[in-house]
Amino acid sequence: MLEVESISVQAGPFMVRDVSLHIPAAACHVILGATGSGKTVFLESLIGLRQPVKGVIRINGVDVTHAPVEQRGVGYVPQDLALFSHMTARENILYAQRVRKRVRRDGSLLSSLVESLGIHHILERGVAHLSGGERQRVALARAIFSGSRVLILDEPLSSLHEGLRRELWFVLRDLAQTYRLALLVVTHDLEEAFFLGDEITILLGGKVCQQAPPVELLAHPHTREVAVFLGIRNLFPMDRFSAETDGLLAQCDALGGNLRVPRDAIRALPPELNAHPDKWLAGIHSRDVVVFGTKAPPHEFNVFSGAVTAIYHGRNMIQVMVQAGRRVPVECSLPRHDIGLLDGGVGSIVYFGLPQEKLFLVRDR
Amino acid sequence: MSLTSRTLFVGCAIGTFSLYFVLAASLFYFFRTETFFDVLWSQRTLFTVRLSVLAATLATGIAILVAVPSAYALSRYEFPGKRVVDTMLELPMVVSPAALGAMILIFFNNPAGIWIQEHCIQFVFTWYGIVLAQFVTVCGISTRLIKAAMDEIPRRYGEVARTLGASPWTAFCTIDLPLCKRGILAASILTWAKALGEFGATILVAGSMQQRTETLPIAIFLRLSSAEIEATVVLILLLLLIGLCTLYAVRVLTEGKTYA
Repeated sequence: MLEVESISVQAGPFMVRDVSLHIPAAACHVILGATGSGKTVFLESLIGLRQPVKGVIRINGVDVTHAPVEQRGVGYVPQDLALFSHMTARENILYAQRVRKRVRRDGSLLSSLVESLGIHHILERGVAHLSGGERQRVALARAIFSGSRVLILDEPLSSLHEGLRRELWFVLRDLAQTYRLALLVVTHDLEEAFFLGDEITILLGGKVCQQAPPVELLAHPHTREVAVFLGIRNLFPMDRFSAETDGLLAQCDALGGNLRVPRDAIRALPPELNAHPDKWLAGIHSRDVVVFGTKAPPHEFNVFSGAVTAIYHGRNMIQVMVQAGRRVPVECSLPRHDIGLLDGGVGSIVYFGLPQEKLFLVRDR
Repeated sequence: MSLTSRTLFVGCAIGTFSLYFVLAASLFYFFRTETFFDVLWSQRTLFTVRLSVLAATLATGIAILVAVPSAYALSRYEFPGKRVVDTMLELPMVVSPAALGAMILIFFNNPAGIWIQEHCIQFVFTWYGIVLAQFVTVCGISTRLIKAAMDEIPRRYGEVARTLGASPWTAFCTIDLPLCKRGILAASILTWAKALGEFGATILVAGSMQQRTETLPIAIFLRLSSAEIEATVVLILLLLLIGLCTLYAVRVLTEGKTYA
């Protein structure tokens, strides 16, 4: 439905380079990036507010790269929603019908849309009298009722509290399925990205760092940049590799021992790995680190020990910082019921394991 | 904030108010009720008020017609020379109205001006001249005021309207214009009040002919020149009343302006 081929967009001295993506009907693609990474500049080129310096944009196979905004058929819900404050909710939703005088949409679409978004009771209200969640829903209804089947949402839920945000994630997924929409959602919220996205593009500093389905992205971030952006802090430099039958044995002085990395944890193993081990880091999610407590476990690979330096109590998990090897901090996440493993508290020595199957290698630069 | 600095600041505010209050109150030293109504309902005053209101309304109408698109362009678009245009619009605010009036007179002594006077409209020493002088004086101010109102409306509104199928013109008419209508109205009232009180440019272009080009400020000047103090007071009070009503209307119109 929406195809973007190697789009590059210039915004002053900043440039977004070579972004390509394809979003079929009833699918959601998420652009994930930090503030200033070029997400909005890229979106503006899709909407038609900015002309790309190169590349092609197609909607339903039609080249719209240079088409005026109003002729593209791209629905847009910006961060501030831009609901027209001099109109009621109904007038906002019917705005597209009003300005495209010849288009008379099926009345049943309006009623089904209003029904699925649960906004029938607020249609006659002025925008100023709507709550945050109601405003989001009206903005979505307005964009969908315009007839666009490609919907671009620029951090539309960022101002809502968590409960309402989660509720709207489900609404968005339902809408994409019901109306066969191609959704392009921009966010910097990891949880939102992984919930909504069938595919995720990580855009950092104006360039695509990785594009993959969520599971793949989490399991195999390609670079340190991506891993750090995804909140992975356990990245360990390696000093030497030696090949084993089922994987690699990496000397990791930072952790004070050897790391066994299975072959299937390493996608597209580069030939220069041995020649330049310093260009690679071993990574693991904090939730995948196994904490054994103060007693050493029976012989296992990838087990290390270190001093607990801090314990943070989160809503669902306990975050534990352990200093291992060359004073390298290792972040571990434990379920609350495993608090007993940390009986010694801060300062005690604990053993922890990095399960082979959970390890991945990322490029350092 | 310490009590001393608070006292100083509040003292300044009250002091400024007192200055204007004393000036206004001193008018009542020459106020005579019987003269007030005689002067107010006199043929001459009624003509003056009628002419002033008509000329100020016309000048304001034309100024707003020009100011709305100009302000929109300055608020929304980038174009070569934008900064120069923007600065030029502020010129009437910093240049003396007398200088502006002189510039208009000098223009009408140039070939282009002479041609306009001979073949189109006679501006110098006519009431058209009043409208022109007022228009030149207030146009920049009204553009500036309307631009400020348009700057407050997020650009995003128009962009979203366009994604919904509106052409740039439709987006302007259905979104930007209605959203800043209170700002435009407030600007119109202020512009009108400014035009009504315009003196320097008007007297140079239209002259000061009794019951011909005699606007309220010119009437004040003429009456004071001929030592008619009590009549002058009546006209000043009239102008003050109009000014206060204007400020109140603008305050009401600009209160609680939010863009959800």
